[in-house]
Amino acid sequence: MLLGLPILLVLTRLGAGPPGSLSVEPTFLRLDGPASQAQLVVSGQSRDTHGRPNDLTLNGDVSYESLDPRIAQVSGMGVVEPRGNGETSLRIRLTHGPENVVKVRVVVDHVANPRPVRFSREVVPILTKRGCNAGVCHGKAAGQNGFRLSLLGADAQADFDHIVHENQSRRVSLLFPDSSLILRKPSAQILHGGGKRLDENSKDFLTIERWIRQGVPHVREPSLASLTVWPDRRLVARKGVQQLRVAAHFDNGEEADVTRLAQFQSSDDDLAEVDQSGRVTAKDHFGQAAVMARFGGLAAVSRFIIPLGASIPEEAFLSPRNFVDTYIDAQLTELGLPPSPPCTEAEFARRSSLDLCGILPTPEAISGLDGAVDADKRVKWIERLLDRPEHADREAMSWSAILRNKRTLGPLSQAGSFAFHAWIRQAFAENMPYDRFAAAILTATGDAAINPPVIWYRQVNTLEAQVDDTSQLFLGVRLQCARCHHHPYERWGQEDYFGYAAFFSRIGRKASPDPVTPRIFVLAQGEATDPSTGRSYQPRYLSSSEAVDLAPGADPRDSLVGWFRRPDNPFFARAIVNRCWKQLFGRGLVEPEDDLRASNPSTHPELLDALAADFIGHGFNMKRLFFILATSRAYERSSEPNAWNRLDRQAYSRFLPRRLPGEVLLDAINTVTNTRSAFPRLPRGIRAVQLPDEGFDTRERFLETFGRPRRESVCECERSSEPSLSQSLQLINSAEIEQKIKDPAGRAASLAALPGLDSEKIDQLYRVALSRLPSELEQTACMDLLNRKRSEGKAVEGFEDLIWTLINTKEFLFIQ
Amino acid sequence: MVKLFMSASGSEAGLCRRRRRFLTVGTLGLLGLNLPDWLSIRSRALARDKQGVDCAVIQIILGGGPSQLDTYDPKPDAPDEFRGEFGSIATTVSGVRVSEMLPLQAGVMDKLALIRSLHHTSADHAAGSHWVMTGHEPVEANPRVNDRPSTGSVVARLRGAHGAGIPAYVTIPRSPAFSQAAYLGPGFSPFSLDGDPLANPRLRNLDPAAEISLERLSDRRALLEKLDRINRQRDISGAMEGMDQFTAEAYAMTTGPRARRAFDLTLEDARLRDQYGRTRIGQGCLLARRLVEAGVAFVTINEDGWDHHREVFASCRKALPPLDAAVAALVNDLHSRGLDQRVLVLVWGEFGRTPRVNGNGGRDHWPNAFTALLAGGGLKTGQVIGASGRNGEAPSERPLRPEDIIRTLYAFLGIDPLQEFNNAAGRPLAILSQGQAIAELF
Repeated sequence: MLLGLPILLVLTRLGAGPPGSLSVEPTFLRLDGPASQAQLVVSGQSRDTHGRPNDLTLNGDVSYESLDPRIAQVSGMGVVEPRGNGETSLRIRLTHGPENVVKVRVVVDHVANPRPVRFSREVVPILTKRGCNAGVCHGKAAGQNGFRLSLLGADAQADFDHIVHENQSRRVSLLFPDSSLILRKPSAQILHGGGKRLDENSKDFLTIERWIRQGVPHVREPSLASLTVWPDRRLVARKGVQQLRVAAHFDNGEEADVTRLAQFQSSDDDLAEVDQSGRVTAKDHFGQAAVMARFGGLAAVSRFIIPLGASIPEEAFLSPRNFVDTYIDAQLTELGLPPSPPCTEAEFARRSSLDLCGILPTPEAISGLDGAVDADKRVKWIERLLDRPEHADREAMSWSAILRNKRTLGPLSQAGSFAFHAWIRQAFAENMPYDRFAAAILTATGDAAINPPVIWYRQVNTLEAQVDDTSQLFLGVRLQCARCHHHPYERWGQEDYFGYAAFFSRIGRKASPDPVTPRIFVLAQGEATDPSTGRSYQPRYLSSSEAVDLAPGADPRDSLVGWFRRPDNPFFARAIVNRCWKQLFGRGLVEPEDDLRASNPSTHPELLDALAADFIGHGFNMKRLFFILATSRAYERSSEPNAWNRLDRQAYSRFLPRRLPGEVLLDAINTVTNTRSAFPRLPRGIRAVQLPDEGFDTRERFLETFGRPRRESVCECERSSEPSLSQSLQLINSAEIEQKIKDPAGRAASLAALPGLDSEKIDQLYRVALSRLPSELEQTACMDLLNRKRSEGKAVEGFEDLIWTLINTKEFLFIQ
Repeated sequence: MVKLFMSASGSEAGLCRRRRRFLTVGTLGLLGLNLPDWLSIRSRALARDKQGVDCAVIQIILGGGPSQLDTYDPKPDAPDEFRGEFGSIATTVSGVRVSEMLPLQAGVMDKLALIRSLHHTSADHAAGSHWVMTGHEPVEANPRVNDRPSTGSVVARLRGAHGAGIPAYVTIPRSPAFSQAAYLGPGFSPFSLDGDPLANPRLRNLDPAAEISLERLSDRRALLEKLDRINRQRDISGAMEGMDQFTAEAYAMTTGPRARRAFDLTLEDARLRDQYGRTRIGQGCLLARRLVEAGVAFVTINEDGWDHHREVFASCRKALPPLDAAVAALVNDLHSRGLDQRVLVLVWGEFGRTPRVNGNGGRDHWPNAFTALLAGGGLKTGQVIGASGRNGEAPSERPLRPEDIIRTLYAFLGIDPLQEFNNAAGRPLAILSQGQAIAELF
């Protein structure tokens, strides 16, 4: 149990007591054909639930009744099935409690006179739900035991051909439908490697059988336009239950209930589980989870907030600094999760300097912040930080890694990688609008010596890599899957992949004065070709169905960038604001931060939208974005948990500590020891954060050991902050660290040599390393050691030991 | 319930001498064994106790998925397009044949057990690797990090190293995917050698840093304990506690000679080093043996490069001889040192490869049938368990899954697979509730 008894007493109760009013979704439904089925979702609202709807579909508090069971029947689970053509109503009432009735009008058609079974709408989803076309079975590229289906039913035409025409048509027998392999195999009437998948009496079996009896019709069907799940957002009590209803909407305006055929998956089984009938069960923890319903290649998501339900004292929320707080606080209120109070000035100074500039704040700067009396001193502090040159260094470090600025070809690559790094750094220093930054890289042309972003095309030198990197980096879209097959959880198909790839199809390369970097120029024409089919594609924006008209000689990349910049582009701005959010808050609003898709929803979608809109509205201004995030109340919360929020990892009720990135840590150790790390052939005094490419490390490989990315992919996830034994060995017992501590010109030696009180020197050391003064206890412990060492005539050793100790504290090693 | 047996210390019992839990009749069923099985395991466990080394596992992961047909499960009678280029040879166990590329292992087949009916359902490297590294199919189709703790992490958590001054779980030359501890906490993730044992036969940062006496190190440590007092509850990622634990291990390693000696291959006889082969896998296996002797409980040797979609035969001609020499030398060495009861060796990949050779002369991913090799551990060797049909396509007898292999390791180590640990959300999860220890091996 996570919570003590006293806390339980203040919890508000959700979902108890008789509901005051009833409602049902939908209030009108159409059942078409004998296999059709619909799920009702019944909700109650009462004072007990604070006016919030509460699911009653399954809990026995309501009774279902059909006015004409010869037309439609309804089960105790709210499932409606057709019995005959016609029209009737269902009546739903509370079993106990106030008289309260809601009605659902039902129209049934094509039961007595079934129309042809629709292959892609009715048959393919059965193959998907039963796992037949999964990637581990018949859905893999080579099929399974000679029978191949498109992955998750993405290509109905191909599936039809394989089922009906292949294998001497033995899979379907029009003369003897029952002997069709497509029925006998999955029902295990004959040996089936995949075991029994389909019961002979099931609706699904009968649907396929009917399809065969009708002569395997394959008519032109309306295509699926969208998928919706109801409810799309709910507060559910811990251990509460919610039934979902999934509806498919077709481009001819038809709607069908597909709850039975949809597949369900929870984003977090520890918070909420979902079964394959769409029933969600919340666990005994607070937080939020998303449940994804998939059908016909589309996904829809329902979000669940599972409140802790503690009452939050009003003073827990300070007045919002900007819209970030409005959204964050609203969710905390909904969760009933009290936030931690703001951190101290010193903590704030340290946290923001490390996050935004990769440096420790100086004792003088901290005193300045601490001593200031104006109410908006933290806001001004952030303003100043963002104008520091170190902020550009810090951003260039991240971007140089994800833009894969490497010296793959050794020292020969160096001129280019140095120039590209300098260009990236300069872009951040002058606050280049982000759309221009992206455009400069994407449309890079000419010689790297004149236009350094050309270097990006040196490392990312295949069409596939250009598609994968740019879509993941700038759009947060993982298109890789769609090169070979339809994306399993998204709408992306091969047309999308190759349509996008076509924007990169007119890139020409020729020799340039730089022996390892080709000159990039634009070819007069070019198109993307799918190597497996030989089909060629015109450029097309993602989620658009029309090809882009290109003038001869035009650079298609210009059109692509134009689309990135459009205010209605659903990806470009969201991807970058989410990435920056993660830099400051330790996790993305969407996580991982570069995988934005309907089936991987944001914890705070409205906030993500608002941040993106603000970013676009202000000309893709990076500093403004960082400013908004870093000045929010959400960013300044203490990391110290209160009685409730220790387990919170996605509601931002407190700051989540994280280890300093390797480069920042090395620089911080140098600051505390007052030494430098020498990097061969680079100017003296260059900090690790400023290193231009991945070709530099200390002799003992400090940066590699502490998780610096190797720049082998576009993924920020290459950077690791996991602890390891090697790191501990390096920190406590390496010649590298020991030499810094003992440096004759270093801090220990100079502190020992200076006149003055030891207690003041200890204060100073604490302020440099931990940005605060020591407590009395800490001061005493340090004094004891120094006194002893002084009595042995080894004052320098005393300071060395103090420094060793401070850089080994978690307080030093972590941003908190 | 009846307590079957207890160790000399009186508090714990099991297959291995140290840190054992009560094994009760009630738990036998959970391990998939009956009473006579247990009694026989027990008598061999007692024999093992005399060997003086704690139980340990050496796992060789052949990342990418090696071809079962071209290694341990040849199909000499299959049609050409399945059989491949290699012939098969007899072994020291009558009736058991292996690829002609494995003559040295053929010579020690009596000391090996082959499981030829392994299978699972993930044809992706990531999901397949997660499965063999943890025993669990991952929740996501394409996982990036451990959903569940790796087998080595479970062993590190429940058994730890044998004695102080040596890590419990080591990966050579660096950690493969899904070798991490997940919710057990980063402290139980492996110590990665981060270097090729062939090129660097010693470990850095083990020698005491210049002029730092042990006394001074302990002064520093005492002060750190007083000053490093930040509330660990602030960090839910487990990184702080993991770091604390690694720091404690690092002290032990630097203050004692044990780790320094164990990681130093130059102390080994040159002829023995030759026998293992002067290759990355050869020296990795030799290092693994030194480490388990020094008290490491779990070593994973990560030997990747087996994803032979093209030219599988040419690739195998290069890759198999070093593997053959290394595994045969390791098995012989364990026997000649009397470690064969206490050290279990497991060799496998994340899946097998398509029995039918593809158009590029390669073989593609095939989780439907593949082979694992087991040796040592006091197991009944010289046997083949399961079979994969005429063409090696699917288990034709005794179908087994990765979880069965890992349950076998846990049974050997005396780890109760149903013991639960809370994940990050506080949900209790059993170590490995599916699968059963392979009774034929005990």
